[in-house]
Amino acid sequence: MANRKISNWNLLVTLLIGSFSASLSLAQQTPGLQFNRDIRPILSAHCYQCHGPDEEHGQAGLRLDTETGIHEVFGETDLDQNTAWQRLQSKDPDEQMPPPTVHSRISREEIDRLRRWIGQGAPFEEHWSFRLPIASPPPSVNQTDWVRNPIDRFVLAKLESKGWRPGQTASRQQLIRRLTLDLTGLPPTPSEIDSFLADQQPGAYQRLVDRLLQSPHLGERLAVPWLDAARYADTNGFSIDDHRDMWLWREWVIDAFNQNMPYDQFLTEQLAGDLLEGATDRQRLATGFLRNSMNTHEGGTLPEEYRVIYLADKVDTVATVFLGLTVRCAQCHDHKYDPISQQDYYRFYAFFDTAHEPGSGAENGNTEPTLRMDGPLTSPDLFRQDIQQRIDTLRQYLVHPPELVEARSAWEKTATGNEALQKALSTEVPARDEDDWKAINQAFAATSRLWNRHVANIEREIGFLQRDLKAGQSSVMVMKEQGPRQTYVLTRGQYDLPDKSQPVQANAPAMLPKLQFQPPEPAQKQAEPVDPWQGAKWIWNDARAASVPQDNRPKYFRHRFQLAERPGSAVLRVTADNRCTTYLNGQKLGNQQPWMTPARYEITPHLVDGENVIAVEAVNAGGPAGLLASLVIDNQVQQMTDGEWFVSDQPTDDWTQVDFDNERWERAVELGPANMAPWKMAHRPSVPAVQNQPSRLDLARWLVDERNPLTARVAVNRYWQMLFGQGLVRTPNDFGAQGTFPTHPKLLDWLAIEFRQQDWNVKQLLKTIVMSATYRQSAAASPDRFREDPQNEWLGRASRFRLPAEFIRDGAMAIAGTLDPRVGGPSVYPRQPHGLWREISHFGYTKPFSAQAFYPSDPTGQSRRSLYTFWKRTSPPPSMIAFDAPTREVCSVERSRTNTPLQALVLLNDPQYVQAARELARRTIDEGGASIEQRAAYLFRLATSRQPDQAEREILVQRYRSIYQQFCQDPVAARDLARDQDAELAAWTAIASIVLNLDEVITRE
Amino acid sequence: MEPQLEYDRAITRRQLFNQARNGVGAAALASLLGSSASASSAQGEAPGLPDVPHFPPRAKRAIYLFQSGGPSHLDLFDYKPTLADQHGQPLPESVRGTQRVTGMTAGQKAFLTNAPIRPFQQQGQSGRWISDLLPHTAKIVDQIAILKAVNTEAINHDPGITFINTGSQQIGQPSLGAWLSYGLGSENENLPGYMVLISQGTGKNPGQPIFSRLWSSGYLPSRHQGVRLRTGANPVLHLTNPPGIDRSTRRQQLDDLAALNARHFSRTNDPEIETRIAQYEMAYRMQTSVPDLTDLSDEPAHILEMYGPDVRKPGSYAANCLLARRMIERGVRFVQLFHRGWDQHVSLVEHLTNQCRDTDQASAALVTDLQQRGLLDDTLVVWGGEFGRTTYSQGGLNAGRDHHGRCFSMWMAGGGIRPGIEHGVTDDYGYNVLSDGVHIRDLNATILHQLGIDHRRLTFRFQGLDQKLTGVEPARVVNEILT
Repeated sequence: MANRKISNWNLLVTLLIGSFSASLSLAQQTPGLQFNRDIRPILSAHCYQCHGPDEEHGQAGLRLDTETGIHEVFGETDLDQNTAWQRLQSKDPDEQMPPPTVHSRISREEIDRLRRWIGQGAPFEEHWSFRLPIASPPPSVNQTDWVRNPIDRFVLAKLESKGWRPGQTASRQQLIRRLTLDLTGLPPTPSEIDSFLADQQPGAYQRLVDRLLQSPHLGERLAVPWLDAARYADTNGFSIDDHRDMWLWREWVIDAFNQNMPYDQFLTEQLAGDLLEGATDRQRLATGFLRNSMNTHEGGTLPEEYRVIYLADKVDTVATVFLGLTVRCAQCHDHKYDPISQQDYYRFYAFFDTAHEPGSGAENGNTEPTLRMDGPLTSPDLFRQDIQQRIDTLRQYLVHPPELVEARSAWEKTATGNEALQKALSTEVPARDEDDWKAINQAFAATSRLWNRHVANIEREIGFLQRDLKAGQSSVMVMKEQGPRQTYVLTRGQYDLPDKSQPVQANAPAMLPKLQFQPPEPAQKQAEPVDPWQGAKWIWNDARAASVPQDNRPKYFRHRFQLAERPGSAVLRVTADNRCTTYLNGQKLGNQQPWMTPARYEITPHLVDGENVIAVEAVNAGGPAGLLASLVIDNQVQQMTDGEWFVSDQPTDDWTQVDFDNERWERAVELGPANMAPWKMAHRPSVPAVQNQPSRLDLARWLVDERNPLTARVAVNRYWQMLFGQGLVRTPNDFGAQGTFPTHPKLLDWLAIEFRQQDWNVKQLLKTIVMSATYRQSAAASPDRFREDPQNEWLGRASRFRLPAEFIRDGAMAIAGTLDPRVGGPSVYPRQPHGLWREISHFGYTKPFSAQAFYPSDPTGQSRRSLYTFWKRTSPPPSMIAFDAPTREVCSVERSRTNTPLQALVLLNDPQYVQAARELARRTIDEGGASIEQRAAYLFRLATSRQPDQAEREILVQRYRSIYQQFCQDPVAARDLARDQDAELAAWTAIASIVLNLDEVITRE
Repeated sequence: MEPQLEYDRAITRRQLFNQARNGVGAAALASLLGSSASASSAQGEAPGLPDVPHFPPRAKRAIYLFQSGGPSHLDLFDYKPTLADQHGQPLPESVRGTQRVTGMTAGQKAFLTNAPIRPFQQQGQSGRWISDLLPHTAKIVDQIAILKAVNTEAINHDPGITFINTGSQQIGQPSLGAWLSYGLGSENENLPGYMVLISQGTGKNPGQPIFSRLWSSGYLPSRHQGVRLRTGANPVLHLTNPPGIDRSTRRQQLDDLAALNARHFSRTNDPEIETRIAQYEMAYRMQTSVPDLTDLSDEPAHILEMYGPDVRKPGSYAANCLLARRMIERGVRFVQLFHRGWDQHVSLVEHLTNQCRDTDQASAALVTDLQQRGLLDDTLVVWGGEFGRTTYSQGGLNAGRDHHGRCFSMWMAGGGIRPGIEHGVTDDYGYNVLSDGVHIRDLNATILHQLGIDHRRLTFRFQGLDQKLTGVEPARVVNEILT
């Protein structure tokens, strides 16, 4: 009955659509009401907090998100008889809904909408985004000659219903600029513009689109929002925030876009590449997406607390990025607005709970599990060259730490000292040799608190790079299953309060289509070893260690062993009272503390045929001391701590390496068996293996299944957002009840269905959109149009919006002709003001951590595209943050777009932009022709992709003349600005700076 | 629709355009832009939300002296004679209970009570007990309210400092200052509404790291993030013109830039261009307003003396305290100092003494200075860190103390706070709250309240939720400490 009623009602709505008034929002101007568009948002905003999906905290057992509940409450069409309506109207605080205590005021307009809806019998619809997209034929329109593809019919039908005509078509010059910016993130070059303008054959626009879709810069452009969504960064994020190596994953993303990997594959490999049959390294690399979570090694960390935090971040990210759902609320209680229960949350969480994810690690690099491999875009040779180049740069900084060079020059003017120093100081800077600098630095170091700290810091940075150089490949963090684990609902989301009465199995949220899962044939159950501590002894360097307080100096332990072949599985367990750091064959595995929870390392990939070595640095902090370790290979305890191990107080450089000669060390002393007092370490058999449950791979397949209503809609909405400045759904992170209703629901569904039918072809989707007449409109419009539709909801013009941070900087370098077009590679360090990292970091610690102070790249790293800029999460690149880049600490699918004075300061004064202006000036003089007029026009066109009009050119020409005069009279100023060049270059630099600051230059229109 | 977002977008344009009206180029600008510019003009300061303040505020501005690392409440404010009696004795199990401790002492076999490292005396008319480590704070004890039972669930720095500054241990929330900027807007059109100053103490050096997320805007529009004021020629990043460009050349550049932008505006009609022109004018004004702020040469000697010798060292805590006062005078809404080095796991005696010496005089001087200028009445001052420290020693007696979130001390002054009181009681070991506990959510609710904001009503729709600084758990304003 109810269904029929709804479909009749829908029909009615379709018939009624027609007359609109200009200045009201969508909801206000449609005479027929749609529950999802017009009513649900009111109920969600004002009622669901108490009468929504969260039944446990619900009031009066009422749910206004279900058909039954709606009928019960609002079904009575006679308003006088309708209790709910009466309570909405009531002024009595005890009666009034919503109650005054919840601070939720329903507007008069919303009340009126509810009144009309009740009058119509309070029809209900399931939430729009939880239903499958509906294929609607593109509507018929009047102005058929404007239509280029089906998108235009959906858009135009709406415009015509409002009585509006679409905007004019943009000029070809505007189109090539827009397309090139949208698809590559770079402005077109003059010759690209010329050849497009010269192409008068039919199909020129399509040829342009096809060319851009093949550009290697397309992948970079598409990667930028994906890096935000995937919270990509080059540091670990929490606490010390030292570096990590994830750039290989960034290369994977760029390459996947450039290869036009279908979106379903793109999704599947990132969520579960490691679980694919015969997974390749590349597919495992893709799962770095999930490992982009922040992590920590702060001293007092309780690892399980943080393991749960990392998993919750994965849940959040996957739900936001692929489903457009906000599930975070359900970590602690049932969702208030969407039908996602706390059980649903932990079912989703269970997909990730079985993965190996150490709660504490992240020290000076990656946390296991990791992979070393060649980059998808960077050859091994190039990689070694990049690392070597960075090492060479840092070595120079050992002599000339960038932050202190200026202070040193100032100090030199008054410095006096011994003969060597006097000689060095009297030598001209270019002529100084190594000894001169040594003398100078030694004397200067005594006056500078920072000098020795920088030197120690840089030396450590070089050490970390040498590790990579030696390996010949970069490391990257990837996903790996650890084995079954029973997941429980965590009471109020607390990591240490699993609710044992609520075990859950991995599954999709119950309100969405079922996840199909066939348990595999019963596999051979991996037998757990009887007892991993069998035969293992607590050891130390001193027999009294178990009873008498020990000194707090670190002790170093080593144990070498032979393997005939690489084993199928190898698990190393280590614990020390109080704490330890473990290495295998020179590679750090991680830190461990407190002693009650031994570290467990899956070391299979790190073992080699022949000699291997376990090396442990253990520290005691008062009271008894001891170290306990065991290595279980193919389910047998094969190596364990005992008197065969070596120990020393003194580490030498290579003590973690296999070939280190440990005969100079002592044999360790056995204190007693694992279960000895005070530790009483006993084997606790792990919980019985849970039944086979769906894996991340099943999750990925469910996401791209044709019955999933969200995945395709969420994806196409994001691409629409990229090309129009905002999505058809304005809340790309929320397709639930609290999100916004699509401005063009049928278009969204059409695009989603099309995307799927074209086998998730991303380039094809982009092409379809940019080929539309809707996309090709001009961004200019009358002031009335801007007033009536400030957010461009009706799409009666092209959107005009400031470029993302990265493309503003890339654009300036491209215009200046200095941009290095190389695609891929390790992150680089374009200059930023000195001290920004150091002032907030752990810089100065006796054993420095990585990424604590900023050291700029050499010139080759100064002009790379901005997506390669090293991203430190606790202090992100300032010129990116100024233009609204997110911090990359958590998933972000939308940037705010602000307009601030700090942005003006960056574009006017940041040395990067001053440099760009200078180079642009040089280019103008070299290439722009002989006359000032020609040069002004040339410069202007490089930046804006168009010729200046007469007035614009005149402004620049006049200013050039006057500033040139000023610089002629003030040659010092000219030299300052033009770096020892003449007034001409200085004056053009000043003009170039004006042009680079134009709104038009940093805006896509 | 995201009404808040829409509103914010609209307001950004309007408010910022207005600020151009005093700029040198503003007159020319208005004529360039014609009627549209004046149509979008309205008088008034950069506004916050239309319904904020929700009620008459007791404070117009606030200074938060954040002591990063976890100052030891037991050695500074929370006087417990029992500790001296029980020095070296195990902390009774009944006191310690089963609550979690950090991984640094979880494995410790003994939890020995550690006496305060210096004696306490009763101070002021109010007779509050203050450690000898804080002789200057002792002198303002009648001006401040000491909260002794503040508490947090966090036991480590990163979650702790994130919690108290952003209202949540989960990453991605806006900071307190960003919420204030979002709600209240800015009072000064030439300076940001929320400014941040950082210093490092001589206690533990380096102190625990801090993060830009502590002053970030989270999901609020990013213009609400705190603006750091640094030392040197560019107190605000890239404030200074490049070498070779003087102020008059810059003015000429900006005039042309405005003219060219205005010309493009006349073609597209996009009001965002008007905003951009206005922002360049504000940047130009900041180039004088910020140096004027940081130039201490107009401060009389007796004021400099009051803040102590460090005040002459740029970037020191003392210098930052004085700058905070100068910002407040210029209408900056919220100034937050982050001072590092309070993490005394080791060298408790030496390092804590150093930390106190670095901060005590300037903190007290700031309160006195504000009071002498009549600014304390409507300026809220808050002093405190992310947690306190343990009753028991870490790594041997007097060697250090571990983190302790169950109870710790903070103080507040001015802006409608009752002076000379203390609030909250801890047990004889300073380990558990006995009565009047103040959760850091309550603290944040109280700070907002003093600035005229109902913490339940200052919301922003993100991820489907009307997000608040105080989150979803209940929070209460600590009325007992208000005048």
